[in-house]
Amino acid sequence: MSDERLDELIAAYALGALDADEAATVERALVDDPDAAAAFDAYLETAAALATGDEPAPAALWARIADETRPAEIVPLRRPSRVLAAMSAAAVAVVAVLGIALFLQRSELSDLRSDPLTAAVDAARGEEGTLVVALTGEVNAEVVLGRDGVGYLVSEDLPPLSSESTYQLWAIVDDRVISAGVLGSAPSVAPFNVDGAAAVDGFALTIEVRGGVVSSEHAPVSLGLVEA
Amino acid sequence: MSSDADLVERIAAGDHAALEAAYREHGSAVLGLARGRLRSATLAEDVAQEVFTRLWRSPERFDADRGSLRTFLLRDTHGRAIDAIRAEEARRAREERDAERSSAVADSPEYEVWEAVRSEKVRAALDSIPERERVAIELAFFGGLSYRDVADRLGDAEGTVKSRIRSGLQRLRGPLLQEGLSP
Repeated sequence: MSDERLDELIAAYALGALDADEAATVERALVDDPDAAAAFDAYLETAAALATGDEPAPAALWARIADETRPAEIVPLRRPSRVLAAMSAAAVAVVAVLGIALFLQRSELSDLRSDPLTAAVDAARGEEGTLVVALTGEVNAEVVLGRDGVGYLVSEDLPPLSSESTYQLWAIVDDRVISAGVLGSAPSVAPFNVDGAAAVDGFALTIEVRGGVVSSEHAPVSLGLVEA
Repeated sequence: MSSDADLVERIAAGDHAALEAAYREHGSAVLGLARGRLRSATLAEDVAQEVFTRLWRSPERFDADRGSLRTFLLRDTHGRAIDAIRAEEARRAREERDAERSSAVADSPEYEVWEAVRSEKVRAALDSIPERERVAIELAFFGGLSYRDVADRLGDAEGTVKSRIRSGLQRLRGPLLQEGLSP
């Protein structure tokens, strides 16, 4: 393929105007050819400028990003085994008292299929090595975690919290509890990311003050451990 | 150390204000590109949110030697938009919706909202290039058509349309990026 023809394809690719077969050709070229990659960057920047209005990026969108990112700290536990045991015991006790069913049935999730996040969850379920963990307790939820560390908390029965509170998801990895994400006051499908997905032993869901916390002092409202 | 590298290093250190600074600097371009690709304000905001969340959680993916932070974010936006399109297509296939649905996207109210935010300067830049190039770019980028569909709609050869898209983008680069349109 001539340089000129490749450059034409790259320009069309930057606008999203290629069919899948030609897009694959361009994607290979971008990996192998630094000049092609530089041309793509230039066309992409022009396309972005074409689509950019005079207004600054919306504050409401920043609020969503801030809500999701602010407390993403990783916190080693001082006495991990004791804390994990306490978290497990609390969740088990809640289950015993309330007699709540253990698993969210997939049929219950059918109403959620209309948004792209749910489509992403469905795609993740079909990928090899994806971990699915049922969280049970006061509320039921499900975690779908891909091998790449991208995961989703899925639940349609999380009671909405006040604006001053948020659900926070914790991943239990080796001897640490990791804040996997601050999910907001009424999540139904919430993405998160965990480093070292293969080493995850379980997940816990807590209710915290808005913005999340570095280290939780609360018993989880839902807990699930990875089956050995 | 470049300002981009410095900013990303602060993000890697957990400085949330640095992430906010990156959003203020590049959020509009990221959102604009996502809107252009997806023609849906809702999907575009989801993609923009994911791009900045990924920057926060995996800042080591940025390599200052390979380009600017803006370029890095726009590439990520492009990739995430492709993922969103594919997910949307898969969802539609699963739900067995009819083919009319896809053509309805470009005419959706959200597309009209996106049209409304296009700046006067962008319109002026588009008006400054030859009409045939402008029409090809508008149908491809703003209308969501492949260049083959554009060629079919205009009755032109596919190669001609590809060439017009490229030359049009090259002509637009100067007026769009040198006049401070890119916030």
